[in-house]
Amino acid sequence: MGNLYAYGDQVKSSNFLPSLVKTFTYKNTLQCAPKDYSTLALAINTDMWTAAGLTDADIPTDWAGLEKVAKKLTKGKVTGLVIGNDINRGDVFMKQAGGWVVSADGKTMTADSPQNLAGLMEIKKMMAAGSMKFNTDTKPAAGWGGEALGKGIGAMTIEGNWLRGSLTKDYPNLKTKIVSLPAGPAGKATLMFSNCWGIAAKSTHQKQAVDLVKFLITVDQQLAFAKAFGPMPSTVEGIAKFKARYPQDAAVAAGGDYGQGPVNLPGFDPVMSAFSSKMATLGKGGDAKAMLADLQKNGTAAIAAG
Amino acid sequence: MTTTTVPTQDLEPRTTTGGTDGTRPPAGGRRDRHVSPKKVAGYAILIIFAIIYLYPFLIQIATSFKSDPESVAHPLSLIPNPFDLGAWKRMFGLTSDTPVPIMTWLGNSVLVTVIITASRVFLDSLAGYALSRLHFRGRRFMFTALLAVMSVPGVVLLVPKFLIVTYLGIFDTYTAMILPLMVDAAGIFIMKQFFDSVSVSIEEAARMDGASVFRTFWSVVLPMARPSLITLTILSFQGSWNEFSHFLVVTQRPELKTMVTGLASLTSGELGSGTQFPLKMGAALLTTIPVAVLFFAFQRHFVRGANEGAEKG
Amino acid sequence: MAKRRTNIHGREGIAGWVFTAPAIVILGVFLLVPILMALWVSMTNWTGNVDPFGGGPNAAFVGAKNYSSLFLSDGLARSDFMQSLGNTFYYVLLVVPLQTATSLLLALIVNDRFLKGKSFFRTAFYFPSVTSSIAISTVFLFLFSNTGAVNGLLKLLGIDGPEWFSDSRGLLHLFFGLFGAGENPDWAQGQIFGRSLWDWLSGPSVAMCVIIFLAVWTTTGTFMLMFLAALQDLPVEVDEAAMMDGVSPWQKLRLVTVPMLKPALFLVITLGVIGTWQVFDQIYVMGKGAPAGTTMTPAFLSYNTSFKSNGWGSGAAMAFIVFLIIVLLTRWQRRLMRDDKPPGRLRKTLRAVDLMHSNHGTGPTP
Repeated sequence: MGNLYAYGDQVKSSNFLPSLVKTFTYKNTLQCAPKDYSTLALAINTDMWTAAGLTDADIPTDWAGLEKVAKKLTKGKVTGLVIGNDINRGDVFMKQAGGWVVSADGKTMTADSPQNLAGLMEIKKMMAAGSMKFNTDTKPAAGWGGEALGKGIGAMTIEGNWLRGSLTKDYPNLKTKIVSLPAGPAGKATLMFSNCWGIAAKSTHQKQAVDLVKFLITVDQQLAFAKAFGPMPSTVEGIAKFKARYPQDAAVAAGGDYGQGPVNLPGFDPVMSAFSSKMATLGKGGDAKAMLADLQKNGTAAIAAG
Repeated sequence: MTTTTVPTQDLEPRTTTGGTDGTRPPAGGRRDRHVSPKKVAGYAILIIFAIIYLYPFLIQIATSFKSDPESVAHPLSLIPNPFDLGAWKRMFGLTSDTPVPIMTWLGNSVLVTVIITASRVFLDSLAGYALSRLHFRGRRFMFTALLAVMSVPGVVLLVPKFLIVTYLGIFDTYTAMILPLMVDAAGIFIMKQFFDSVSVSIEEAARMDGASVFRTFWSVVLPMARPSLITLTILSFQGSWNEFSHFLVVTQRPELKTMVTGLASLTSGELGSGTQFPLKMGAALLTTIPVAVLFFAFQRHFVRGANEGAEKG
Repeated sequence: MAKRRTNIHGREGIAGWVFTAPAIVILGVFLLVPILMALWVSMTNWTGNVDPFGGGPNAAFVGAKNYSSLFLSDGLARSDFMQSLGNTFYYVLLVVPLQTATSLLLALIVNDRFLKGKSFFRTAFYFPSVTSSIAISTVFLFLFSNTGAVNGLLKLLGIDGPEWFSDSRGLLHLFFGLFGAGENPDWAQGQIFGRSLWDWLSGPSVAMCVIIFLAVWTTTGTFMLMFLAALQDLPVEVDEAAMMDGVSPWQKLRLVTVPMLKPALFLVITLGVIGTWQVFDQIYVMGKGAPAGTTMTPAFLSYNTSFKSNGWGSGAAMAFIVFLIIVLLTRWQRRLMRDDKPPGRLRKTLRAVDLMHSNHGTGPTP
């Protein structure tokens, strides 16, 4: 840290979503204004859905339901569920099982909990059944979940807000439906991704920068961004307007209430990146227990050093 | 590129020596009119290996003319069906798809390569001549230092290069890309080796006539060095066109990317390229063509360059 | 040595310095000084955004801590570094023999005087060495993709090819698996430098095999040329003396040709070993260490640690450790290959050559 100018208290009045404020608070100071957020949801290829004889009643609400529909949709060259091969997709299963990488206060590692293991074992179970694959393991490989859905390599995928814009541009003929992720044993959970408007500590124009940020976080500006790029407004008022304007994206908007942000602690980049790299091997006999143990070990060292 | 010292050899087949025709005992199969199994095996191995070595390049060319789905469905075929210029149009900015800044990359590569090559040929031969022919204090020490510098492996130089370039305030500039590469130790070594082989009498004659050192070098000795100079030019061109890690470490802006660094960012997914193989193959092809042309035109010199040059360790 | 004070040599002295000045300046400023700077940084905890020589908490001197933590401190830095060392160990073990043997084989075949198309084959084999490693890696990414040319070829042979780049399973692990060893068996849990024996015994991963193949494919041409040059140098008389002795072609190869190629062999192996410790470009383009760090090399790890994770001290320390390893390996190898006496058969043949010369005079008879 030390690279950012912490101007958070100058924009506190904008009433940001509490979960976003939490993500960007370090050492009790809000570092920057949350710009927007996106959550993960389940995207379904409706043509393949109806062709497999499934209806709205079959939309999965728990893991068992997900396993069932994924299996039904796996046919020939098509895999039921294709997701990205990193922590930003895989970790959602851990959260749904009730576990997470660190404790809520960010001071202890909780990586090797049985809940996390249950989450990863669910991934392994579905992969062993052939109904779920990572995007790098499909034939042909896809660059990301959206490409797998668009090219018909997968019937479902787990992606965020950006999916809709990307599909309209690259695969305009695809008919999709976006629903909330099924709940895990511990209830509903999804991953939330957000950015903030960062101002450099070394900047000589900090006042002007803060003024610009204040403009960019007004409700109108944020809705304009949402229309153009997909991510949702970060203020309470903004998101309410978003939900009213785009009811078909209700699922992703709702995710903001129970979404989990990525691990933002200092020194964790290499730790999470190593874990992510190992997670990609889950489909090929990766040892879930060992990778969680490694994450625990490395994370503990990073927290102690930071 | 590491090079080695082995006496320069022309690799055309030598004529038979030793003994006169007719007194040499016929040795297994060589004088047979019939094809021996050993020969068949030899040719078979060569042909199989030649296919393994050439096929990737043929596939590369063919794939750049295929459409995305076709490249995935029929990866082995050398005939694009349908023939699709989509990738090439994108590279040259002729379609409305997100452009790939190949023209910028190409321009940077040409600029950088031409300057570095010209500079290396001139400065390396100057220094090589001095180390070979001129007697001055510290010559021995300088030569030893040169050998030492040459033995440092490239991996050790990544962080150092970044440090000095940042310290001098030239990070992320053309200067940082070009200046450090304007002289290379291996090139100096090649030229020195050549000059060592030139007979001293020619220079002494010129010097006695009153010519200055530089004049002797420029007008008398250097013209004799044509073969080595050509080799040096070719090696420098190849080395600077294909250079990657140096440019990666001293620059950051997309405007400074060369064909090679640009291709690396395209391939490692930085430009959101997904799995667009025809585009990547086309870009790789463009990166390869200049050196390939040079190679086919000057094969002999490449081959000599692989044998001459720096002694390692 | 007597100092000559004639005009000519006085001018030479100045000219000598002037001629070498650009080289000295550029090589000194951009190679020598930076190496010393990096040596300093490797002994600090510099994080990149302040002056590394200015001291202070973000550039404090920590002595040999960066070096020792790569071997002794439990943590991610050590496990990543050890994994990269393990990967390189298998890489060297496979690449050096394969590229040496292949290039020697090709050189021997191409060297045959009566071979047609010699120039074509030479060109074909040498061409990959000339092209950019980035371009070649891009092509190989396509060839070995899940539905690429290699898997297409395997499909023709009825084999379902693996997903090359996402398969992190080690070959040795798969081999042990054939004999029933499970995953992470108990007998292999001993720790060496923080890594279990089972992990050390993984062998190269499937993804690493692609890179091994790429390395051999690219370097064989250059080494073939070196062997060709050395073969051309072999006196024909030795060949013929061996023939007269009634040595079989295989024995001739083993006892005569290969020993006489010793200098070339030494060179090829040395260059090969030096090269295998510097794999960088290919890793950058082919996954940056993925899958699961099984294609991570020390060179790339050094780059990644310094430039991406801002661990400059640790990254620089890694680079110097690799430097040391290379120096030690080449020294050791030189000692290995130096003091062998030529085997008996070769001595006999050389004696035959002597006899031939004394009988026929010193050159070819007209």
